[in-house]
Amino acid sequence: MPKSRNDMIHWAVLLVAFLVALAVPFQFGTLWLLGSMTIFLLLLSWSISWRKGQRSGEGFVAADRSSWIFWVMVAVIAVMIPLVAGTPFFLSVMVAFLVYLTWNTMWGLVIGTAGLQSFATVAVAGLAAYVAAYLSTPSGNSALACTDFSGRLLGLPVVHWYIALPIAVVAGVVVGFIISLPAIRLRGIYFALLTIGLVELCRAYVSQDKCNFGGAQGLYGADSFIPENLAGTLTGTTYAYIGAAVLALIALVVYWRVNYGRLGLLLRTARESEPVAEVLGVNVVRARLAVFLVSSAVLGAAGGFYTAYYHSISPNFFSFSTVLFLFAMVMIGGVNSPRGILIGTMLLQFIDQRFVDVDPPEARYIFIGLLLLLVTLLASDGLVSIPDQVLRRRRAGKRGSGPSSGLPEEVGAMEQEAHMPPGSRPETA
Amino acid sequence: MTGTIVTTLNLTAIYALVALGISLTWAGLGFLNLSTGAMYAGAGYGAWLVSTNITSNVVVVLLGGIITGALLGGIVCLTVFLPLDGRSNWEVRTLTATLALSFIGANVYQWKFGPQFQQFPPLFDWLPSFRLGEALVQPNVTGTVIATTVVVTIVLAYIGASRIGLGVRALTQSIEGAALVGINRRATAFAILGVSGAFIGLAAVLLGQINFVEPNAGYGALVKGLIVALLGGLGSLRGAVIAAFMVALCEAITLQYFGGAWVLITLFLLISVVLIIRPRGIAGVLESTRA
Repeated sequence: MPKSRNDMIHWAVLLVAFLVALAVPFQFGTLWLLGSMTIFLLLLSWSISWRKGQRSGEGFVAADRSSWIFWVMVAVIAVMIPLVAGTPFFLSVMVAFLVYLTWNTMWGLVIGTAGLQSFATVAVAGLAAYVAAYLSTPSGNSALACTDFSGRLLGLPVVHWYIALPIAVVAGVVVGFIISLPAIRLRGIYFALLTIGLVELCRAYVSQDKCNFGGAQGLYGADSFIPENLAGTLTGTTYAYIGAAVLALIALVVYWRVNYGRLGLLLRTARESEPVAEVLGVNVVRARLAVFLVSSAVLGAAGGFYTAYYHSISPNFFSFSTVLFLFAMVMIGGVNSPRGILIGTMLLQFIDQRFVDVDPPEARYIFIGLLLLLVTLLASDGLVSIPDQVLRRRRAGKRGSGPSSGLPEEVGAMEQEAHMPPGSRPETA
Repeated sequence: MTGTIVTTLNLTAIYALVALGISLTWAGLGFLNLSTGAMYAGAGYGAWLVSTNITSNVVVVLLGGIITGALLGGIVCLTVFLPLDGRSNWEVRTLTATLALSFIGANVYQWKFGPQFQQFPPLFDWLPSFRLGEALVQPNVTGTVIATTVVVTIVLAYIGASRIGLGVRALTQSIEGAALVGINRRATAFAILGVSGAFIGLAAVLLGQINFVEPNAGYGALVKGLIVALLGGLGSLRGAVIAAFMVALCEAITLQYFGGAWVLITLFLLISVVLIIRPRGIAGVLESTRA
């Protein structure tokens, strides 16, 4: 039985890879656990896609749904981390990672599933974080000291984090609704520009408004779910880790329900061809509105969590480099699959944290930029799409008996593309 | 009032240049060059190096900016257009790749030249300043308008007369038609990106007369260039000039009555209103009607 023997070898190799990934941090330090697990998960994801693709020829959207072994491993790693690598520093790196993951998964729904080039993720999460900070920061705070400061807006009381967090969710939904309105009319790059503008607008506004939002310093001293005597301790960061993990889990479940459910199907139809979707009776506007509202609610929750964890928020949150960093995370892994978003976020969080003291400091960002460029040029949809791409190319080579068999693949693609206006190019690679 | 008009005139010339660069690339090659900002800052540094190390002769410094811009355009062609041309997922991948380039560019400049702000020597001091109503027209405004007019005229004449210019025009009108009459798309791509880089480089030197050169200088230029290009309608020369004037006027008025921090806010309000009324800009055509 050659097939089962291949299977045995295959799983044995992955097991060895997992053990090596476990051993690496002992040699190089705890942070490497994040890096080695990223590599392991990438290998696992590649092997799943490769085997599924070889058997069925389906795209990885189909393969993703049945990749339970991948998510079991993710859960194992998530549970393992506080048990074997429990230092406050490493756990705080992981909390940041999980918050990024929550934002990126929701962003993936908008850019990937719905195909809307939105950069507003940062604006939604940031505004929700600001609302939570505004509500839970005592007004006697020095950040709010301001000559014409005469009491809080609408006489709002200072509340605890568990009240501010749900309000942040509501704030997220409201902002998401506002953003979805121009999406009804604007497409592609026009919408991208408008959302970049929105982020810039938020930054400019909160850094101007010293009395309510603390100006360039931002707000600090917000109420936190970590009791004061536990701040910075292992117990405190473990609470935060569990909280962030629950948040990321909610985001993944929402992603799953939307992307693989009816709504995802409607959105993908509208993404591929709006006229076809309308002919089929899809209410495109309502589907897009729904995805914005759902993702914004989770973004708002993560924004509120961010405030409650870091006690503070500053206008830097809205800077273009934040947008670019999150964008690189989503794009390097692959925006059309939860696996890709997870792996990309892990990889960049690892690079960002591990090489934080590298000299010159710009080298880290230059490396991230080069990585993003390289992955974009080589892979059609991020790192996780590589096996699919190779298989598709192989199959296209094997077919070989069609009318264009004499032409190399690129030439065929060029020919086909010549009939298409830019922006509606066919899937050829 | 006339002071506002003078500022508007100066900014119109510069923004029109950046927008032309963005618009030409989109019309000819079908992608939006988000590394425009990195090209802008790079050309600024190129011209600054020329002015500090070689000579501050106006023609040489302007040429330094233009040539650096054109070379950076060639790099964009090599690293984004050629590898991705004809591949799947074109729109998202070109967007991502050019964003990656701009990220790399800003960090390379920061690393090589440091975060400090560099200033050009005044290039147009030899021109006379004169009065227009009650406003004083500074030499740099006169110089900007003259240089922009000269360079744009030369480039448009070149595109109008030369063989490669014929290819550029054919590509902006119809990709299919250009392919049918045997135009080499990949070779023409270098010309298109080179010319748009030259425009952006010129804009960098001219705006360098009133602003500084710094690693992140390109962000403002990119955002404003994008606003002008989209407001005017991608691919339209006339639209770009009208939109550059509107944006410059909006900026000049905001500067005078509200202050510099509000410029981007009012600009985005302007573009939001225009785009919601006319989703393809002032003179833009719907993408589906473009051949």
